[in-house]
Amino acid sequence: MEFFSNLALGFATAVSLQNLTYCFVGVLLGTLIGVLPGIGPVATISMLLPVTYGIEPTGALIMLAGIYYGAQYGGSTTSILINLPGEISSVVTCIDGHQMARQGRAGPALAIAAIASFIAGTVATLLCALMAAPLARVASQFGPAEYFSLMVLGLIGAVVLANQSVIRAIGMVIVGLILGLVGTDVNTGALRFAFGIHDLYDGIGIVAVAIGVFAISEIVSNLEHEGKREVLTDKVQGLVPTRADLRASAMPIARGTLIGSGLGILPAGGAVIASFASYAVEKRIARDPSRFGKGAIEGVAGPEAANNAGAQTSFIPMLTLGIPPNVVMALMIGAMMLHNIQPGPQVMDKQPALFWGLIVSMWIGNLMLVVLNLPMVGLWVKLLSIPYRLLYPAIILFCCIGVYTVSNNTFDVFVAVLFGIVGYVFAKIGCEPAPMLLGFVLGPMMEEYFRRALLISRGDFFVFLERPISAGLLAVAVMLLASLAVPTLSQLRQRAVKEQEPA
Amino acid sequence: MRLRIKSSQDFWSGLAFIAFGAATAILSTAYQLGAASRMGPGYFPMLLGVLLAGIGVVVALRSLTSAAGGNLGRIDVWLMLRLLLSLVVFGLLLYPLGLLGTAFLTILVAAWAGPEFRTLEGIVTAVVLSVMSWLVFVLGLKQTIPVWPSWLG
Repeated sequence: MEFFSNLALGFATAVSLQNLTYCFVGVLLGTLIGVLPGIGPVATISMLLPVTYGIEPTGALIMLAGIYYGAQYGGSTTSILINLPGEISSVVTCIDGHQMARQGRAGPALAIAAIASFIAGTVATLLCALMAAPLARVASQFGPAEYFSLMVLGLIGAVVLANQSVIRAIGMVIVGLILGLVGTDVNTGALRFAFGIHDLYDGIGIVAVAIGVFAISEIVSNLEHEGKREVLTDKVQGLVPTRADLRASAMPIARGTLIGSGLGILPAGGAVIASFASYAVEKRIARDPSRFGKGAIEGVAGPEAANNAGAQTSFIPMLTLGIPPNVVMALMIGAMMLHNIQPGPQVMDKQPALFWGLIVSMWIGNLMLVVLNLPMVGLWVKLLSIPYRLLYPAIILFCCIGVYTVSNNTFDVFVAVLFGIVGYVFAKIGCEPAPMLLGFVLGPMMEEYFRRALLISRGDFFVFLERPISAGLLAVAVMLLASLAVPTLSQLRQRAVKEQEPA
Repeated sequence: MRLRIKSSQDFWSGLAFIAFGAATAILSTAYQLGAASRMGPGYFPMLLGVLLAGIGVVVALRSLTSAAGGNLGRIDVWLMLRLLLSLVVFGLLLYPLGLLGTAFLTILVAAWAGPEFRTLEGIVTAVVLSVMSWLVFVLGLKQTIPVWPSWLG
């Protein structure tokens, strides 16, 4: 009964007073900042990452995870109450959630979103616990060639599923890989692309890059599109959903959880499209599809469940394989490395308390979200009425302080400025920053595995094709790319990606 | 036949990739390349640089044949530069001025950068937030940030 002893260890770790506090603080801070319009989970996490430096690794990761799903939950609150999604995955919640709010049913919409998230989170946590050990066992058999191919697949998958122009996104991945190489080469000790700048010897800081390309350019584009926002704050009353609401939501929640978990486990960024996929499914099987877009509660319940299940299960590839399926997980990997934990299958064996504590704390965190948020909706509503012109200077200041405190060095602030410009320019020419950050995190690891694989094969490049698992992973990557050439599939993808575009 | 750019986004991203890839490849020549079986520090970056430049060529060529890549939208460079100025202010002034003064100026510049700046409101926000950041980050979270100007300590 390894499974139960693992969970027991997890519970023992997660319910220590200290870790419960970190979890609570993380969830609270995450929700608080996530509720603020125009700041998504990526910016929230990169802003708060330095705060967790002083904490021991387990507590730090528990808190970061809490910030993540807190921010995501706060994002759905915002998209229901004002028609402004903070991030891609809440775009779908906007559609029917905001309509419900306009009909005076914001309360039930918020409650169903919370319930759906909690149920999905519970199932996803169990799934994490079940899947993690077998997956890590498979992964520990991997040699450098397999790892390299897995990273290729992960990057290609993330790019194919989530980006408008796949070829430009692949270009951005390579830009990220190159930026990741700046600093001291671990194998030879040679300095690369450091231009004699001492602060670059340890590489470019991930927090500075993330703040620059996400937080700063998010603010710029919000200010550019500063339009009329419809804030529906006076219409939140009566949180309790009716019995009919609950009955209508039960099956969508179950299906959404399934869809989200299935997509989230993929090492290829499936979670991004989970909420969209769930919405499409609900609309298709509904008896009266015309209700969708006009405040159908199924359109809130399903996607919210899928969204949360996907977010939760995307920890699986990150924790067991050390591969980030999305930008948030890339930041988590960055955080682990800053705490001197090398992500990968060995984490479970070497740090079982951290591993299982983190998984169990996710469930506890979800419970806290429900308990915390339903009574506090009124407070979040008040936060929403703060005008943006007062908010964004505060966000900028906190970003500055966050970047500075990473290593108590103002150099990083200037790096953030540089990447603010880079992010802005790239956004304008249609190159999204997310693939760049994935590449940035994976760069050094990918080089290392590439080197080792070819060292073992004595320079024979066919090593990646001769080993069956490696060849299989590369074949899937090629198939993903080839699927773009199939007209019907590529139209489907285009539609999916378009609907993800923030309105 | 005259060549026309059908997708300006493709065109400029193609050029950006070519420039970045080429620069990487050229800079990599300063490091030892080695061989595939025993790579030097220059091998992987050289490979990536060449690959990126190649992708850049494909994207740039596509901009001449297909409009699918989309075109540039509105660009407000000044807004971005004004906003980034607030970060530069923070970076330059933190050591000489300390957190309280720097936070005040950072907020003020950031607020001024936006389209709806009101002087009095901006100053009040700046005072409130700089005191708050001191309370939260220095007193609350115990981060080591210089609070007072260096020449006072």
